[in-house]
This record gives sequence, C-alpha cells and structure tokens, in this order.
Amino acid sequence: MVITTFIASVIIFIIMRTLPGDIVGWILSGGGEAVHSAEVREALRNELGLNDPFALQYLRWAYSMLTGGFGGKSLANGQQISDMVARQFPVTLLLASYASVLSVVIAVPLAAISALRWNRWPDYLVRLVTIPGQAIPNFLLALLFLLGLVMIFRWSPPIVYTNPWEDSWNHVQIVFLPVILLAWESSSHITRVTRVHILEVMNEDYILLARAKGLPEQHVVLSHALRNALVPTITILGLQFGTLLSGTLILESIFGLPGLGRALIQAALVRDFPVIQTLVTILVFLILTLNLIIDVMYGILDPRIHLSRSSYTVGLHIPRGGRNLSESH
Amino acid sequence: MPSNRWGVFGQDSYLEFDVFALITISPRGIRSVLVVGIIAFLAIGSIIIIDPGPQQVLPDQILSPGPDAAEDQVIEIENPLLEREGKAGGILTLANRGDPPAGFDTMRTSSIALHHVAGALFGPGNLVMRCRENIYIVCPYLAKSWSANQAFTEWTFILRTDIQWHDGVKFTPEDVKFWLDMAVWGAISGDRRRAPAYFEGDLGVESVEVIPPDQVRIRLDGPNRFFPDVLANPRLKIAHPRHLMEDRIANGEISISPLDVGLVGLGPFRFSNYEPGSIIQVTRFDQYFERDAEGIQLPYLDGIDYVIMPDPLAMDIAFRTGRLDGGARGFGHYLSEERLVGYNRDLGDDFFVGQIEGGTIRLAFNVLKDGPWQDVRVRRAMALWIDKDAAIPAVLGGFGWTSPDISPNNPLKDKRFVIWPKFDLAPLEEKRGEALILMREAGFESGFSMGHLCRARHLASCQFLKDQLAGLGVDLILQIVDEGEWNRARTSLDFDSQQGSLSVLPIPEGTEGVYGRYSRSPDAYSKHEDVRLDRFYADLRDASTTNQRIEIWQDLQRYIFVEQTYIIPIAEATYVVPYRSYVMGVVFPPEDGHTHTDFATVWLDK
Repeated sequence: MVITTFIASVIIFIIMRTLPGDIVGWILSGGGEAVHSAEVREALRNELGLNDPFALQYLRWAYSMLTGGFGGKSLANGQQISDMVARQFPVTLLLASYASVLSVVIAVPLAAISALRWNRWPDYLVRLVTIPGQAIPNFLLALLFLLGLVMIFRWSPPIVYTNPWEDSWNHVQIVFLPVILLAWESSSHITRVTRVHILEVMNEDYILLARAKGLPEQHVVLSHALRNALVPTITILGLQFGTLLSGTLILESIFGLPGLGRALIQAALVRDFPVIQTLVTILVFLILTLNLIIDVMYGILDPRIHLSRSSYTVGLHIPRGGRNLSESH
Repeated sequence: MPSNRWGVFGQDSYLEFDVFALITISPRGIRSVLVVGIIAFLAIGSIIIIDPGPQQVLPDQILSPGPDAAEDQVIEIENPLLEREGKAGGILTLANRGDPPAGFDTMRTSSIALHHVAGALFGPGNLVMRCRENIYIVCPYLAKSWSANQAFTEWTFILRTDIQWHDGVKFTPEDVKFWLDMAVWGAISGDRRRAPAYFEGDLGVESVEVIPPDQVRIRLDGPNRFFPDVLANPRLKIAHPRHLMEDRIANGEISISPLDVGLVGLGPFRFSNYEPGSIIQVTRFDQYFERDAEGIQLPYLDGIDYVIMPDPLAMDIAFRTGRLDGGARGFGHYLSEERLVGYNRDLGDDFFVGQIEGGTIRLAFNVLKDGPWQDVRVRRAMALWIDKDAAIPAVLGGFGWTSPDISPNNPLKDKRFVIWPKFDLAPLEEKRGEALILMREAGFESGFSMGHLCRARHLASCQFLKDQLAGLGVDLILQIVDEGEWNRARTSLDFDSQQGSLSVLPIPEGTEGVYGRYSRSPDAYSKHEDVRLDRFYADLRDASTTNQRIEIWQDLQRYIFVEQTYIIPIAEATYVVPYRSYVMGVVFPPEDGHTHTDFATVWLDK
C-alpha cells in the first residue's frame, strides 16, 4: 500500500507538472483583474520555488509529507495544507459517512423487496425511484430542491457550516439536503446491484436446499440469500464511499460546505501544486485503506474467500467437522 | 350504534352526536351535561380568580408613555448622538465570491475575493483614496495633505498622527516607507528574495524618504503630475505592518503575508475570525480615525460577516430567503436580468441594486503571429461586422452598453476622463457591407479560420464571437482553457486572438498595461510591438492639463480601435449588486468594483 501511494504521488506530480498553466499568473492577476510585468511574474515564480528542478520540488514535498508538514503551504492562499486537511477532511468524511449509512439503510431493504417481488409492482416502484437517482445529476436536483424550498416555503438551508459538536441543529439543517441527494444517488446504485445479486442467489442450489429443509422464507432470505448477495454490495459501498470522499465538489459548493472535494478542484483549476499533490495522495491512501478493509470484510462475510500474502484466493471452505458449505446451509 | 355517532358516558347514559342529524339527548344525559357544565364553570372561574392572565392594555396606556419613555423620545429627536445610535450596531452579512487568495496579501493579488473584504480590514485607500462622493477625485486618507516639486518628480505627504494599527501600535511614516519599499523592490533575506508587488510598475517610485515626525517624500523615476491618481487605486492597500513583519522577513520568512501576522490593518474593521471556505468575520475597530460629516466616528456597524459562496445561485437563494444582507462583488456573482426576475418575485421592494460599470468584452488580435489578421483591413472588417448590441442580452445578462460606439448618456456613467469617442455609428447593414468590401480587398472573401483563446468561464462571449464572425466567413476555432492555463496562455504568443479580462484603472495612464506593446506588457490584450503606442503614453504622462489628456486619450483610442484595430471593443458590462432595502449608506462607485469596499458608512435600518 505504501509503495502504491508513493507511485501514485509520483504520477500525480508528473501529471501536474506537464499540464499547461500557471498559478503565478492567477495570483498576480487576481483571476484576471490586474496587469503585472513579466519580471514580477518571474520573481514570484522564483520566490515560490516553481523554477527549482522538478526533482527538488518533489523531494521538498515528500520530505514535508514524511515529517508531518502535509506538503507545506498552499501557493494560492498561503495556508498550511495540514490546517486545510484538518478543517476540510472532517466535513467531507461526515458527509460521506452520513450518505453511506443512509444509502445502506435504504438500499438493502429496497433491493430485497425488489428482488423478492421481481417484476411485480414493488419491483417496478423501486426501479422507478432508483433509475432517476442514477440518471439525474445531483447538482441539478440540488438546485431544483433549493429553488423549490425558496418558492414554496421561503426557506433555504443555513449558509455557514458548523460541525455537529458546535451547533448540531445548524449542522443538521445544512447537511440534510446534500446527504439526501447523495444517498439517493448512492443507494440507487447499491439497490440495483444488490437486487441483481439477490436474484442470482435465490436461484442457487443451497437456497433450494434451505427451502426443502423447511426453513421459513424469512430465514432463507435474511440468513442465506441476503448474506451472500451482500458481498458484492460491500465492494460497491466501498467504491461509493471513495467517490463520495472526493466527488462531492458541486454539492459542497452549492450548500457552502467547506469540504475536501471543493478544495481539490479549486486547487486543480489554479494549479496549486502542493495542495493537489497532498490531497490526492491522501485520497489515494484512504481509498487503498478502504479496499483493504473491504477485502478483510470479504473474508468475514464469505469464509470461502481467503486472504493470502501473494493474492486473494477463492475456494470452498471446509469447516471443522468435515461438513461442506452446502451442508452448512 | 351507527358509525356516524359518537357516544359519551357509556351506553346507558350517553350524549349522542349524530353528525348528520340533530343531537339526541336522553334525560340522564341532560343531568350529566348540567353537572359537567357546573364543574367547568367553577373551574374556569377559579382559574380566572387565581390567575388573572395577561392584563388588558388600554389605549391610554399606549398613548401615554411613562416618564422614561418620554425622556428617550426627546433625546432621540434633539440629541444628534442618537442619530448615530440609530445608525450604529448590527452585523452586515455579505456573500464573498471565494476565499481571498495569497494570504490576503494586497501586494500579491487584486482578486475581488480579497478586495471585497480588504476594504474593511485595510481601509479604502492608502495615503490617499478615491473620494466617496466622486471616485474621479483624490481625497486624503492616511495622509492629510500632499505637495509636489515643480518637476512633479517628488511628492511629499504629511500623515495624520491619530492613526493606529488594529493592535494599538501607532501608524508612522516608517510604516509607509516599509510598505512602499517592499512593494517596489520586494525584500531580501539571505539568498531568498521576495518578489515586488504586481503593481510596482504603475508607481514609478525611485526612492522613499521619511521626514520626521510625520512626513514621507516619494521620488519618482520621472515626472508624474497625476501620481496621487495612481496612488488612489483602491487595490493599493497598506496591509503590511512593519512592526509585525520586518523582523520575520529578516529571519527568512520572505513570503510572509498579512494572514500570517493576524490581518492587522488600518481599516474600519478589525479581523475577528476566518474559517476558510466558510466565513470571514470582522468587527468594528473602536480606534478608527475616520469620522462622518457630522463628526461621528466610523464605522457604524458592529461587524461584517463575509460568507464564502463560490456558487452564484446559492448566493441568490440565500439572499432571497433573508440569510444575506448583500451580494458578492465579482464576475459571475453580479446579477443578470434573468436572476433579477427571481429577486423581484420573492422580495418586491425589499431589496435594491447598485450598479457599477465593469469589464469589457473585446476581441484582441495577436498580430505578432502569422495569419490573415495581420492585415488591418481584415481586422477592421471584423470590427464592422460584429453586431455589438446583440452582446448585451447574449453575454452580459442584459446589463451593459456598447462601447465605444455610443457615449453613455447617463450622468452616472460620466467617466470624467473617458469621453467615449463615437466610432462606427452607421447602421449595422451599412457597416457589414463595408466589411465585406474590406475582406474582398484583402483577398479573404471566402473567409479563413482563426484560433481564439477562450477562458472556460467566459464561454458565452466566445460562442457569441464565433457565431457573429461565422457570417463573415471567419471560422473562429475556440481553444477552451481552464483558469490555470488561461493565466499562462493570455500572456503568451501561442494564440491567434483572445479577449483578455483585465480591468484597467479609470485613468488613461492606467491602460498602458493592456493596450501597450507586448514586450512592455505581456498582459496586453493585443500582441503587437507598435512603438506609436509608447509615444501616446509618453505624451499622456507629459500632459499638463486635463483637456490635453482627454485629447491624447481620444487619439489613442481612435488609433488602437479604428486605424489599427488591434482590439475590437464590443460591449461593457454593468455589474449589478443586490442589497436588502434596510442596508443604508452603501457607496457604489460608478465603475471599478474594487472601490469603496470598506463599508464604513453602512448602517442597518431594521
């Protein structure tokens, strides 16, 4: 994981340096509002170390990361990147966590209902809700919701973000809508994937066996079908969580949430190299960690999957006592 | 029992309601009702006796205030201090386009995201400022008076002696020298060098001398009769306290920013809190030196909250629901006609808008690059072909005017120096006929293609130009770039044409950076090396009267817009900023949205 993170950081560094563009021009012209000379531009490039050899720039950043400096200071606003991460990461993490939990709470029962009532009205209804959730961009929905609230209730969410431990009511009001929208999108995806897997699992022999043994249908579904169908769902959930960590940019902008996604895109637009480098590296590390957690969870949820040192292997798990998997059902 | 009946007191003794028919009451039911009625009467009576409840307010009590209230009323009318009380207090909540870049460093950036806030923190000017009642006149600010030598190469400013930094330290002439030295020459510490301010070229300062106890003498590298006009640029704010920065720079912190020293400034409000991406809060500075016409200390407000709102629609919604008292300044956040409809529908008379003349849409040619546009007839043909009126609804959201075709007649739009020459006033069809002739003469009657550097956030104006020029046979190939690349590319020679976006100072001399030669200013809209422009600007600097300046300025415009058509000015935006109707005393500059962002004279009538 460390090696992958290192390689990722090198790739990000190379990509950012090969992209055309210049933060110095952005700083000096204030986004295109003032004129400056070539000499001043060059002097500022020197001052910020942008004319140093690329290897030196990378090593300086890497040293800062390894010594806890999180890449030093932002070129765009002069803030310590560690401070930025400390402030912005909890916002995004909370948002992603709320949305993920809500997604699972919504998606799994809906998927089960949809699969068990396959091609009947509950299934149609679930599909009717989930397809727009996947198809309509959440920023469009956000604007529609906000405009609707303004026109009908003359109300809009608070405009200044607070952490839940500072002002929980304000926090609830400001994150309520984005969480709903993110959860709708995320749960739609999870519902549809889980539904397909439940349908597949319901045709497996062990389900037939469980029914033949006279187990109640509820027990068959919850203990046998759902548990097995959830393994791929865990993968999707992990990926969705990773996406939420870095992909809530527009909603963060619309709802005034000072999160990581917004900071990352802003940094990319103006070529704030140290910020991009640090944030992307952190995200890569987090997503790798998530993947690791998911892999471990595979083993817990499905004992047939083993984690080995060289690769992941899937095999038939024979529990102690000599009963095979089918017998265990 | 029928379903449309409800019984009380059980089956034997019940009060029965029939929702459709008359009420049926049995004899035992009547007794029950009487008992309940008596109990209820007694209970209610007891409550009234025990707790009389809210006292009835008689009209006399409302009309006859007590002695205290009467005294208050008299004071309010007679004591002018209470007029101040009426204006004082309250927190103004404004949207801000984004986080201020570069650690709030006014030497580094002129971003409106900074200067919307910086006016309150650092003040509306430096030694001088643009007057609040007329931005084309220079008013004293930190200096109370100034004078020049006969050659206009030395300017001496006498400073006020009652000014303090926000941390209580006295403001001195040494602070001015520190600020100007750093702006013009940067700073050096060991082998590290701080870059000078982006505006160092505008100042032309050769040296700065402190004349104790309260004077500063600035020597220029050439004569400049209008140096105070240049200095009054509101972007030139003193945000660098010497007593907090000098030692740290000497110790190697050459990139130190105002944010690093706690945003200690000289403005009417002192820094209180900054949550990046969320909010900037400032509070009244009680030792601020400015007073209003009645001698009352400014500012009136208790503080200002600037809410960071990068999304203009989010700003609209928050304003319309009362969460904001005013909008942000900055392109994209200024209102369009379409957005204004929503404001009018929701708020009616509960808001007003201020109008500030802003940036221009233009097409500028890179004549240092090979192509048909090197022929002045081609450039002129394109200038004549474009329907400039159409740009106002299509690109400017309905707020703007064509320039410099038509002189802005509104007295608010009187630019004093910028008397618009009336170029190309013929009807469009006539102009287009002439354009086709010019294209034929130049040998391009079948058209050609031309690249165009297009800033992604200005896509509408790029598309407008492309659509317009298609009729002339010019295929404008849009090369759309993001902010990072735009900031590099617009100063390069890589593109055939571009729009530029920079605001210029509302004085003729302030335009050299965008109209002048490429080798003198890479940021020039048009990339050319026409030395005649040097002469125009030299003549402007040597002009001794305002009329002379205007004359040279008009000749310059005719040369660059018509005779050479290096640049095609199309239309100028009017920036529209909303405020709630209870926000009083906002000073709207007729142009340049960076001006008067101190909000020292603002008060809330609510």
